[in-house]
Amino acid sequence: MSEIQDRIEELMLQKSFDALTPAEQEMVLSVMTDSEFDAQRNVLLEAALLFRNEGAQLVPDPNVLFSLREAHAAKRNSALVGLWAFLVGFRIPVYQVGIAGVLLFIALWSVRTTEENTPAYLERIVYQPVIDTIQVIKEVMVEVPVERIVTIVEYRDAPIAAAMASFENIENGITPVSSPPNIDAVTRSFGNTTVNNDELEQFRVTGI
Amino acid sequence: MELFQNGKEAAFDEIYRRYSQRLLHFMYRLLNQDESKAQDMLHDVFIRLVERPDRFDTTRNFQSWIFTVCSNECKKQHRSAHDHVDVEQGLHIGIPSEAKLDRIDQKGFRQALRSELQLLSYDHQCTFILRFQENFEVREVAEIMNCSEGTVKSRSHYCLKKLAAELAVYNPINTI
Repeated sequence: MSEIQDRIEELMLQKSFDALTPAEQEMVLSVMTDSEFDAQRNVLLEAALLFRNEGAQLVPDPNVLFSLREAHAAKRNSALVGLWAFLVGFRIPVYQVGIAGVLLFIALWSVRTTEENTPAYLERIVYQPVIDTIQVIKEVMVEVPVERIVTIVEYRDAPIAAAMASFENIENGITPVSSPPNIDAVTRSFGNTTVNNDELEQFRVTGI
Repeated sequence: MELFQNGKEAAFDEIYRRYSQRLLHFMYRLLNQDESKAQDMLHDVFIRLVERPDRFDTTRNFQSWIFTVCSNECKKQHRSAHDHVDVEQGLHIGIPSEAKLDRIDQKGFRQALRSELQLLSYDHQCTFILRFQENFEVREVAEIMNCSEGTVKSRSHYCLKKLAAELAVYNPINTI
């Protein structure tokens, strides 16, 4: 029965009795007449329209929200004031206050005594590892062959050659010769040919 | 609501924005269409919410809860003003049926509907408004009114039947 009533209520909001299917009409007629159905349907629809129009015209008073915000702020402030009032208005016996004061004095005094016995400061050396950057420059010796131009002056007279041999070359980089070279001045003299040498040899032997 | 309970003012504003208009309309109906009284009642309900937000159990549906609070407040008001309502009811009841018959039009039907709704008992009126104005489900109405679903259906059906019978004389021309 309850399900039928629920179903009929749904149908009332959807269509009139004439628009119902035969099965729906039969279900409705088992509970009420067709005129009752339409009358109740009309009440539902008119009520919905009335409520909708009425609701659109009703607006909450803006002052209500303003007042509520103030009350909310006051409530939050009163919570803080209440905590403070609780702390201030907290009542305890006088002897407890006295005991607490004595205990506080003893605690402060003992702390002060401990501080007096303790040296002001202790000096000690502490090695702290420090990371630093050190740049190592490595010298590399490389021997590079260098060609030098050496001018050797040779003289035909042996004494002069020996004397001049004691001089260093133009760059003074050559070690002096300990003994003059054995140079045959005649043989090594420039401008003579081999034929001339033979003639000179013959002249030296024979004197001719 | 949890945010509001934690002191967030913005949460309170949001609650007010969502429900104030609906609650005002709901109470306006239950307070014999007295708008100023409905505005005052709206203020009182929200003040309670501000002062004692902890009274709301966050595991419950807030919408059902706030409508329950408003319904109870209106019921108290309804009881205290019972004699006054009776006088008004007498005025409505005293309208001769011949006069009703002279006003066979849509406007008259709506006016009569408005009056007849006020003549319903508080429980019937509240059930009808929650069901067809606020569009609550039967289960939700039962929760708000603290009664069984069967009672809600019975009251709802009674209201429809009674209103249709009382307004049958108007026989509106333009049915929707």
